[in-house]
Amino acid sequence: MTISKPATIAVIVAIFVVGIILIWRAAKKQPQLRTFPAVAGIDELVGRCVEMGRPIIVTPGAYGAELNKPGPIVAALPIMHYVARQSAKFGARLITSVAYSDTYAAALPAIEAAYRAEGKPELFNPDDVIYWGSLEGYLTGNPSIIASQNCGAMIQVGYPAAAGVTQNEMANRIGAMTACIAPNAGDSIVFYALCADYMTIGEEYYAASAAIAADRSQLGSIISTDVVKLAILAIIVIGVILAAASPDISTQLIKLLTTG
Amino acid sequence: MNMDIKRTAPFVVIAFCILVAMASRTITYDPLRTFSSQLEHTVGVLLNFSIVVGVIMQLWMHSRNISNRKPNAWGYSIATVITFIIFVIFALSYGGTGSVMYQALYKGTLIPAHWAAEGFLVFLFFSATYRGYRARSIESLLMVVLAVISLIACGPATRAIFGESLRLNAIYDWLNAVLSTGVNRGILMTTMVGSVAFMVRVLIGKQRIMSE
Repeated sequence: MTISKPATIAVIVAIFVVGIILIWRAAKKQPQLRTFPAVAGIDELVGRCVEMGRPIIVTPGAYGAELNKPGPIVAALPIMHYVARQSAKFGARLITSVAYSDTYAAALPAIEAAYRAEGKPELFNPDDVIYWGSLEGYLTGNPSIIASQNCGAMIQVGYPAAAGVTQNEMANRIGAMTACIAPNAGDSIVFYALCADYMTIGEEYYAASAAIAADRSQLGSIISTDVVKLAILAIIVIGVILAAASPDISTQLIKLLTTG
Repeated sequence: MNMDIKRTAPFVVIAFCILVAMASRTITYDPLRTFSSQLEHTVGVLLNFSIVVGVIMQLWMHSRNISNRKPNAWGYSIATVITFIIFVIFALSYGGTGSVMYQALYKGTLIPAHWAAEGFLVFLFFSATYRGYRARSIESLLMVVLAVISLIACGPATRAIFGESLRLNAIYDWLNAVLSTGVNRGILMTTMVGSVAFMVRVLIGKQRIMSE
């Protein structure tokens, strides 16, 4: 039995750092957090839809757990649940659009639970949770629903794939506001920057998911990620200095970390 | 079943699966890797049961549309159900999904539908790009400047006219290799840190779907 690469051990160390700080923070007072633009915009978007009498559409992205994206899907559910609760509270019609069956199976009870939690189960309509069954269906169906139902706002959570462009652009065309919360740094980010009114990307995707829960230990985990990010930043700075001083040392260090 | 057990049991199962997956990727021990592989396979099989849920919900929704004659919907629902039945018949008949008939059906309907969807996408891509060339703020002005540099440096027309004399390629290469790569790596690293924190929350059962 042998232990794999030192880089793997570094990940485990990071996990322990996050875990320890998470538990430590949970015992302390409520942490103060920065605001996440897209999350802060959700209430505004729901309010806008109520005032205009138009529905709001929320989607957990173009992928499902079957396409090896289970993490972002699970992180998307609290945000979707929050949107559903706000919609139920203020009486906005909520349309949920999902691409794959596993996401559908997860999203349906989360949305229904939100209506029950607000004491308005009669407002929940299962027909408003739309399952497309394929990426192609999702890509073309979502803009079609946004246009045909005249949605007042769109909230895109998770990996959007090319749908990030199609649905944002269609939302812009019909005058709907959009909030996009995505974990990736891929091509769609460019189009988010072009089309979205509110945008939260990268690590803040997972942070937003925790921030919405307003749970002390979950908020503590956001602070712990900031600590790990600072540590990574320090390593990068040290690496740059080492590389400038002696390229050989930095090359050997990278080799040691990656191959063991 | 007790309510506490109902709430705790999924977290115990998830934590067990995460720990096994992590250990199998960290420790080189064949029985552990085999167990992890079998566990992942089992989870994959369980995951595919959700497709059954999806199919049932689709059929239920479309049959209701048809029986209620839902305006602007029931015609499409009939088409969807008929297509579904035809595909099921061909998939389950002799030769299965590899049969000539099924493949002809697949290539004759789904592939053109896919490319129709792609065509739709291209139109919206152009439309979004046009939107991008309207500088509404300092940030978007910066994007417009970078986009113009990239277009001139990479566009075949500008290359044909100016050749290498314009010397924008060096600027474009620098933007791509230094600025773009640096920003992408930064986002990627922080995303990984975020996903580690997320995984820890799932592992210790602190990641909740329902907000308080």
